[in-house]
Amino acid sequence: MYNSNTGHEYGYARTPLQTKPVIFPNETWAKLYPLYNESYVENAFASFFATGSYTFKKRYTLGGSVRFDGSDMFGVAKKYRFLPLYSVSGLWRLSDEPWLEETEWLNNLAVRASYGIQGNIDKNTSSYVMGDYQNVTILPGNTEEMISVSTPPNSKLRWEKTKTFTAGLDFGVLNNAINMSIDFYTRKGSDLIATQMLALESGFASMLVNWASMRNTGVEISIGTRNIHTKNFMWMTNFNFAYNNNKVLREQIPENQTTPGREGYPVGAIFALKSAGIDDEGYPLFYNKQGEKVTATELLKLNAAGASTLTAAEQRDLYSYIGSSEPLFSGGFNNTFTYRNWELAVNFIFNLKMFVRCQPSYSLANFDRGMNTNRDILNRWTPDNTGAKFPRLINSTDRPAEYIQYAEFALYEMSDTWVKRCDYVRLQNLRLAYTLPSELTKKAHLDKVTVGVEGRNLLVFGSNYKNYLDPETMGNQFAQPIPKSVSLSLNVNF
Amino acid sequence: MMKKTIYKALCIAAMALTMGSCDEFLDIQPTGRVIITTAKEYREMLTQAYSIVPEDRGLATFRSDEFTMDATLSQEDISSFKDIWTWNDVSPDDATSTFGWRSYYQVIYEANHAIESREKITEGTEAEINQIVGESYMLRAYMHFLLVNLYGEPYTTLADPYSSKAVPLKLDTDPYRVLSRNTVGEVFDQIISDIDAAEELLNVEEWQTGLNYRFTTISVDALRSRVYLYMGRWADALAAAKRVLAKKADLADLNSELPNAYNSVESIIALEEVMTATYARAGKVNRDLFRTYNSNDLRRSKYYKQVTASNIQLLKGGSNSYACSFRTGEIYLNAAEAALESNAGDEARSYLLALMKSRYKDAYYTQREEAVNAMATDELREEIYAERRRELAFEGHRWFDLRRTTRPELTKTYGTETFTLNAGDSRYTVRIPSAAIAANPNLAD
Repeated sequence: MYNSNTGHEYGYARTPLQTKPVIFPNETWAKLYPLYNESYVENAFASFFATGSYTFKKRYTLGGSVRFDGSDMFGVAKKYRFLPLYSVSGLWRLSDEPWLEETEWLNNLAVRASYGIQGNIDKNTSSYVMGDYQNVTILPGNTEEMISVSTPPNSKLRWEKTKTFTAGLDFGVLNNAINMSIDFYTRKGSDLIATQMLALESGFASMLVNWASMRNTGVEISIGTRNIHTKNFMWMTNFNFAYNNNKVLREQIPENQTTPGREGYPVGAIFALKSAGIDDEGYPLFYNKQGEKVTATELLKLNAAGASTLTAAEQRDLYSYIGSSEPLFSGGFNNTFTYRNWELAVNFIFNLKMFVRCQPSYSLANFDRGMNTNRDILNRWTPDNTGAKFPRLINSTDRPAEYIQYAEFALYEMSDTWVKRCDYVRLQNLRLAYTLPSELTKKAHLDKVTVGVEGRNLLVFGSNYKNYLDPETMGNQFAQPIPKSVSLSLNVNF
Repeated sequence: MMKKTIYKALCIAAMALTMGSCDEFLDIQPTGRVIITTAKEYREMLTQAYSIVPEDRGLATFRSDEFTMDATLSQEDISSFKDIWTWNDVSPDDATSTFGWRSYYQVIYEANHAIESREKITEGTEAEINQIVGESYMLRAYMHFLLVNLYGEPYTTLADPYSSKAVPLKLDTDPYRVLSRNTVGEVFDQIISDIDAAEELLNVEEWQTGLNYRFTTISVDALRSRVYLYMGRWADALAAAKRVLAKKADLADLNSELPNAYNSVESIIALEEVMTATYARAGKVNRDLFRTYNSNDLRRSKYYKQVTASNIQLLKGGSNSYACSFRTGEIYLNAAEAALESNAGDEARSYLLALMKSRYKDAYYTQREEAVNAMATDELREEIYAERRRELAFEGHRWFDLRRTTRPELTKTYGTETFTLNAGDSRYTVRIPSAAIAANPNLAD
């Protein structure tokens, strides 16, 4: 239960603790500055779950669970109130089998597998027309109750279902000098729920729909090794690696969508229009599907008001697939070296094979001289700089249709000029520590004294991230630089 | 193992039992949330629909010749309205106000919902339910009418109204359907058929003051007279206007009230505020307009307050006290114009003079009466247009009237800059908002 009250007072004076009454010129103004708001929300939840597991001869484990999560859903059929979740799992510890128990070099070997189903439905969706009560004054002196309809009813919305299968292998060998675990998973989601833009003639801007089914397949590997272990020196490595392949299996593209569907592509697919440099007057050019260089007017068949007369399907067809915004590979690489009292730890993380859609360096039609901008603006087309890389700042009189298109639609933003490859490896931390010899510390009645110096985010290697401060925040001009830090530490144990 | 299975079965059985009783626990009627089912709830939904009708007839005044603008106005207002005032549709300031699109269709959605649910509305008398559905047809007709007049070519200037695309007609509540633009002719046909449907259902003749934003039986013919006038169907416009005046012919006494006040005797429907507080202060009354009011014209001092030679303030707007969508004054002028175009000159004169009598001082009126009676057709038409401009100034008529009649050249000056809207300029039609085209590319065609 939430109950919130908000009051507004004006002309507050601290000493007499008084405020001034507000005199509004008329009701229209009074409506703009409400003095008091109250809201009340009540929620209820109920959950049931059962879980069981059984282990046989310490080697075979079987488990299962069932769970129902219920919550109050208004205007939703009762059968949808409880979300089901089922799963079964199994584990077989091979290393404890009699025929492997004798194998000295094998410390641990186990295989695991699980399968689960999960369902989900949007809590705010109803197949009825619902609304919220509010007060309104249309004509002076007459305040009435009204019901405000904020979302259209959605009788077509179905359950979102996710099926997950996982399989894994753990093993440790050579006195646990090598420890490895491999996990494979495949997760299939169907009837996934997402917000889709509606044609405004529906009366609404967007609604939730079952838009797609998709599959995530991936492998996660983690290896820990003790590479060298002598009396004074030890080198340990920890490597983890993840590969995720995401594919949209089926997508229902709304008739009004002007960007391509992702069926057969990753969910983070980036599509762009192929740019073809600039023309004699400094306007951007694009390649059409026939491979010819064309202006925006020709590409989109603009009408006098700067809007494309192509159908939505024809517009979708103009785009090419560039890549995914999610990395295909990611992971970390960690090394620790110990020599006598010295310890050195080096930790790298990496993200490979992903793409980012950046904002254009400057807006062609609405360039704001008062704003900071990067140096690309110096390389724009001007009558004296016709060999420039970037297009001119355009005015509304020369090609008015293109002007409106560039000013009000996202054409330039959709150019492949602004889709950048982004791979990087970051030295996340580097730590050097020295532990004072115990003979020395003993004298001072101390147990252990360690002095260390640690640097964070010292280095990043990556594909070109010009105009941005860091590959990780590429595409966001307003991102703060990722702080580099060096810290000194002294650790004393009594 | 067996034991375990039994145990599990018991667990599930227990769960099923408890879950049943849980339904009650989960049955929360959220505060302030409701499924619209009863007549009262449908009425309250319509109240919301009425409350979000865009004030675009007021915004369109900036495109007409009623206001002037200069650098003494607030910077915020200049950013919001100057580019509308100068018909700069190509490169407007980012802060420029926009004409509505989705709001119209949201009103239409709620109207469509009431129309589609007519048989399902509970807890209401038949008359109540009919009234609600009738008002919904009126709302749908009026919204399409405003849309077609903003975004479609004027009906009267088209050789074939069925060949010029305007706006989509939305006649159902299906949110997924992606529509294409209908022609001007199709939109007007639908408006007329919706008005006819409303006529069958409406049964409230007059709402009490304060609720008189709602459509009534009289409003059917009031809207018809305007729609037919905009189509140039003069005989129909005249007939509709006559039916209104047969029921309600009152004209305001300007000494005691403004004719566009929501509680004036002239008020038929007091829905749109038209000149909102923002619009009313964002421009200055055009001096050329002000000069068309003779010093014997009562409206001169009731509609305006001349502070200095160039600073003329508007008195007939700026709050919901001046909400007015239809009033008898307009009906007289519709009748006069329609009669004139139907070659009934004397009838036209009588409607025009009836209005003039209540707007001018007596002595001057007699003088005008003689002049009007001596006018030939063309001269009389000019007189009706001029009287319409004066009478309905700042009530959201001017821009639409310019469009449907002469579409003259307009010139505006801001400092040393001059802006021109050529005679018959394509900018007499507002372009569909880019946000709407981005959400539905069919609209560009």
